[in-house]
Amino acid sequence: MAAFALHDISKRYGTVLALDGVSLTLRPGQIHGILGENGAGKSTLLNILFGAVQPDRGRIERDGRPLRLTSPRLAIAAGIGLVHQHFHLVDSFTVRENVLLGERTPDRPRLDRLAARLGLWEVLDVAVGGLPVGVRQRVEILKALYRQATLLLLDEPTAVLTPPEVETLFDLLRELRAAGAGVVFITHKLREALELCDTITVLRQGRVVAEYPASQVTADVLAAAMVGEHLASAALGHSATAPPAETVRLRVENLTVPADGSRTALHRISFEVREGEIFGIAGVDGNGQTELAEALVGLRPMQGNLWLDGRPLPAGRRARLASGLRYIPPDRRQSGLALELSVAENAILGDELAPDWRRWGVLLDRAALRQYAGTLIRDFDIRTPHADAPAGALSGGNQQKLLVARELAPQPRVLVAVNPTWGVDVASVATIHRALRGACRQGLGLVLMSNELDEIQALCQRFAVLYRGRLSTSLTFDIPPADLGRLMAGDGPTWERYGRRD
Amino acid sequence: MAAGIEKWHPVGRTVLALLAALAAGMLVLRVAGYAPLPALQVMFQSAFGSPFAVADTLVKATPLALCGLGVALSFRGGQFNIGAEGQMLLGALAAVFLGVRLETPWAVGLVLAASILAGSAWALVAAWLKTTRGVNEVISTLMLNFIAFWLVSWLVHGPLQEASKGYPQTELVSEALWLTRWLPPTRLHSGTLWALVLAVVGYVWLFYTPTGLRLRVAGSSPVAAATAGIALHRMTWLALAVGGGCAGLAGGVEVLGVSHRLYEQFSPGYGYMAVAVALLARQHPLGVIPAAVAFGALEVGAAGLQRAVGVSAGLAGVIEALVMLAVILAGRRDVAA
Repeated sequence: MAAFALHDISKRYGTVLALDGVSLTLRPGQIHGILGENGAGKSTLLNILFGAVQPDRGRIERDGRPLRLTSPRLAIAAGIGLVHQHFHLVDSFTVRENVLLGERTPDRPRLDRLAARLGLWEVLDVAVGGLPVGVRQRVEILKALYRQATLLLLDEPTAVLTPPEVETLFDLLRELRAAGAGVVFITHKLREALELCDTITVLRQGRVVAEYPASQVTADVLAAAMVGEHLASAALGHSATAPPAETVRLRVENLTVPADGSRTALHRISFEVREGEIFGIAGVDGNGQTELAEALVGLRPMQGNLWLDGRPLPAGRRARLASGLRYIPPDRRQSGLALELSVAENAILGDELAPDWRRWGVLLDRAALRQYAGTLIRDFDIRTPHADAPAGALSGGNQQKLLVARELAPQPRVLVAVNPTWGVDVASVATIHRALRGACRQGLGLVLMSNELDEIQALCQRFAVLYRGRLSTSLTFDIPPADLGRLMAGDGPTWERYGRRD
Repeated sequence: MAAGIEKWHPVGRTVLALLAALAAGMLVLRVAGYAPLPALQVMFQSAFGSPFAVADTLVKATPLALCGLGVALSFRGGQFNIGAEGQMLLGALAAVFLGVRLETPWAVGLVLAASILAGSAWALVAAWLKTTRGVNEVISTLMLNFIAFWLVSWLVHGPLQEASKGYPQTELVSEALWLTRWLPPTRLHSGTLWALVLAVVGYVWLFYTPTGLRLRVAGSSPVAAATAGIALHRMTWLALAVGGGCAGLAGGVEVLGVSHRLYEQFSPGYGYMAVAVALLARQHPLGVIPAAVAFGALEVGAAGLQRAVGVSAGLAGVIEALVMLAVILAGRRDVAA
């Protein structure tokens, strides 16, 4: 069994420093948790360890000797196995065929032995497609072990599992640890890290901010490390706008969405947003943000009641759009913009039927369109060669500004924005924040969902925490930072205190 | 070098691809033992050498343009409709069915409208299968081609066969309905003009109407379209209905303008070539016109080559395939990015 060490690893993607001088030691017979919010650099680190991504700087060692990992093949040869979050299995093949895929000299007794140990003996000749998710994950582990992995990398392995499956997985990992294997467990869930790991390393913005023996650390400390020390001391110094008016713009009552496949169910969510207010919804990604946003804007069937300015909102995306409820989706490249279409065409996506750019009843008035796009380009400082350039040619920041401009320009009454500054350069962040604040001064009610607590703190006075489809009562930043961390981690007693009673 | 070409204007790349394919075709000729340059000259002469030659090329280009337009519009809506052949056959069937019964000249409009509807309906079978059952439209439109072919085959051998029962073909449609011939003895007919007009209409519809904008968003970025509240299923139906309608019209125009009746080998594969036409046109409605002329010329040129030198007409098929490959290569996106 081998020990692996990473020294001073750095990796840059364009303007983003994904990893910044990360050093880690991974010992055999240990479960090493890597904890961090989305975008902290966990996946990059994993991909470097698996040879899929090459670091710009730094070195990797195995038992003190330098190790070159220029491809996953070399990583496997070095005894590193990766269990992807999204399984890489052939559904129509049996478990046995999946494990032996690409093996020239299958060692059948060894496979049988390992399968028995992992509890997969019964299903060895069953097609993978028909197996439950938890079992498929074990097949991935079997694949890695069969290839002599002594260090097992697991990327958010519990994200796809039900609670009993999580328990089974943890038992298996503990067994492997006892047998001397090293395990790297990547997660953003504090409780799981504390329950399972021996050592926990916290990553934030590409750096190792702390490393603890799991036995000597609490959820509070980890939460504070994850979201940033300054939060703990930054209860003051609020820069939000004037106190919002008393008029309620959007009232959400008992919004419920049943579970649907891998989607998170939402349970009786209630909150209200006042005129001119930015209401924050904090929480770690994957706790129902997308589902909540889509239910609010009419893209997802829901139960419960929504009122806009005291009137019930109709169902359906277009009907809600017409009532003045607009949406900045989380992924500008997939769901926000049509990248092959021009900037001008993207500027009216959702409003393409509006009379402002109609000519002779049926035609699009290209001149009016270009003129309208021109005003957005000016007002939001969108850097584009011209209004007819494809949106895909713009940089990420400018694409995001275009998206924000499109949704703000018609002066909506309520805007639902999910991570509106995700992956955007600092200057564009400032432009977007300024635009959002400005719109709120005009009376917009903004629902801001962000996995960056800093952003919510900078823009909101009131906010709530979303965890596994449940929303806390509305909070202010007077809340002790430790409590906030526990809320985001789903700590039971804390939720007793801040959760909604109904 | 390759990286440089990727920066070229798309039209430049397409022309380059066309020339490369032609050069490769000449190479094939050379290997087969013919002198490439004289062969090229013969091909060009037969396709463009005289007004009659040009007329011949345009006669071939007309159904190619209409089918190609249909395929291009379907592609724009994200529907990989390769069923223009079947949709065209259904259009021709509708034209013949009405055409042998109606005798007033003004019924031309009615007959062609029926062709459009028949082609649309045939394509909408694929839309229905896709939106209700999730059947991939590539498979369903292709299979519908075969069904259409055998349907026509059965009809011209049976229920719709001419009264004399001489050949497996239908009666002639009423002479009153025949489209005007512009340059006798060639078969150049007024339908060519209609193809041109329809390409312009398709262009305006696609780029200058809100519906065209929605169709393009749904085709290129379906998630963004759904997020903007565009009903994707409706766009699927629309893309296939419009595509099928154009191909159906091609069938109707071919019946009223050229064949005046329906028989088994009615189409030499216009609907399949239309896929190549649409690709060569880069799915642009106006680009369909030069692309259709290019393929029409290739057909006529290859036939001329066969007459003059005895080269198999299959060569045209080889060159068409080469053109398609070259165009797909030229149009490929930068995968690395």
